Amino acid sequence: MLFRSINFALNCSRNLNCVNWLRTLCETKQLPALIDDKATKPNVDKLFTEVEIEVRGHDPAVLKSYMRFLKIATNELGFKTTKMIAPHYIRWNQWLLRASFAHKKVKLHYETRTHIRKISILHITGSTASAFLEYIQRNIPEGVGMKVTYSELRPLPPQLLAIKYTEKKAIKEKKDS
Amino acid sequence: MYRRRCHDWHGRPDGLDHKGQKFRQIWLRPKRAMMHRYWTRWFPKAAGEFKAAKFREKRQDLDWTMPKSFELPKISHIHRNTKKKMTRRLLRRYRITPEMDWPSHWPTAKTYNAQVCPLPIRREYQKHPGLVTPRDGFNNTEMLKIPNFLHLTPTAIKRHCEAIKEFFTPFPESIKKQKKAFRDEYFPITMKYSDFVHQSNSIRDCRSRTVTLIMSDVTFNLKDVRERTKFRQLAGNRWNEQTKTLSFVVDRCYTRKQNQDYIDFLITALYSETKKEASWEKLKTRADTLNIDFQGSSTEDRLVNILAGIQKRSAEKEQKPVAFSPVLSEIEKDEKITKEVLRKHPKVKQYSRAWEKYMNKTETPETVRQYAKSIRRLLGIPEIKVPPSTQPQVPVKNSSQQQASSSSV
Repeated sequence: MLFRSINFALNCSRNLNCVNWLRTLCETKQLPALIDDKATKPNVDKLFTEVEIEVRGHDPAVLKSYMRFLKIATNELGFKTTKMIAPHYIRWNQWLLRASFAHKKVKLHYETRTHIRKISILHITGSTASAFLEYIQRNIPEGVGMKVTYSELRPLPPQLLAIKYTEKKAIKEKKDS
Repeated sequence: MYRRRCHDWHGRPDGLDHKGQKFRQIWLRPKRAMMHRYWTRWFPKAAGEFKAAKFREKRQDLDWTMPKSFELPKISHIHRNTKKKMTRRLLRRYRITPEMDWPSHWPTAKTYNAQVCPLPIRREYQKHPGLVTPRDGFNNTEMLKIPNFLHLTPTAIKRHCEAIKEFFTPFPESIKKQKKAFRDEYFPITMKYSDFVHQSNSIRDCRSRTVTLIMSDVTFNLKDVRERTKFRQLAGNRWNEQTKTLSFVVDRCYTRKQNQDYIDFLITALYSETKKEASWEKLKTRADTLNIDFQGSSTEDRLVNILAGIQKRSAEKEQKPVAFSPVLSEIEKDEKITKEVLRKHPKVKQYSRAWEKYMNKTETPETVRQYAKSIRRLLGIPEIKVPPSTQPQVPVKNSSQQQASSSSV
């Protein structure tokens, strides 16, 4: 109850003095830490086995230039990449009547093609990825969209690790006894 | 319009002028028509014919390349900015040379501007392409419509990369080199999620909240059959038997972080539940198993009956049990054939393994052939021998063979 009430006070107190007083109490550890875990947890870099960049656009020439830019950039920065893949384009069709009234025999046929290019960068950290991707994404030309798929390496969740640790401990104790 | 290259007038070996300064290109050009108009019409009108004639004399000595000598009469009430008006600054297009720094000339992405870009490029319909060289890009709207990459030349990219390198951290080499066992112990989970960049009125994309988890079953530490079957029953179609991976695709919460937390909860729950043994699990029947076992199958019963029948008949006729049955030859004459007896027999064990493989995996012509082989081996049935072909043989061209055939004749 105490936790909740003080947290509530911290978040929506209009009295700044009160808020500051509470905060200093927390910092000097006269009160337990009520601020969320982010402040106490260290900022650990993420690990990506693969960052896949998929680029889609209606103009293959523009995509070609953009992929060339990516190739040069990745070579400069020393990234290991997979080969560039060009899956088949996605087609959208629609027919419309040429005339505004009748003449069903005569139609106009419209089509759009969305071309796709894919490339993957292997083994980079989170800070590297965010800096590189920001640079890349700022230089995306008009008429082009991007999808970035991250494959992050993660340890087990802390709850499961705790369970496993207790199990291991129990086994050890049995062995010792 | 061509660009005139100004030569080094002084011709000094060090290339410096009388003041010791290097020659600098001047980007100003006179507006000759305007100058003519000025001297013939406006100045005489304003100043009077006498002054005009005087200045006309002086003007012959003027060198237009040196703006200092281009001195105007001081008539302040007219044409105050005439000097500025009489000169024009060359376009940026003409101020650049190949030796100069292109990235500072075209630093960022922008629409094509022929006044800045010196390339003789034009996007237009050409009836006879290749016959006419392209003109410059002035008044060409098609060039404005397409995106250009003039700001991303290799030199520019290199500079950008040098600038952003300071924000990079190296990927730990020790983790890269490690094998699967290390990965399964310290980083067993691979989480996949996506970010989207597109032109729309919102920066958000609801697909970015889906999170996919991929991991193996090593962390679950499945020891016995009970745990393994329970794990597979709980995981269902999320467990891929071929690739031995467990995959969850979660998007039931609003944010990515929430979905990741939910995945963590799912793994923990799956682990705890597989380890727990409930009382109802002991009620498991043959229908609940994931794989069909040979022990307790109807094939086993039939095999017992077959072998018992053979033994009985051979005993009635007082003959040896059928010689070609390898199973029976190893069992004693009077021993009663039961399931327990057969289960100990190594040949039956071999057959049961082949049978289970055939029954539990996908059926292909190859698996059927192998199963047929195992039955033949068990019951001692010989394999089908393919008879020699009855077609006439082709005459052999080898001389030694002909000699042999002739000698035989």
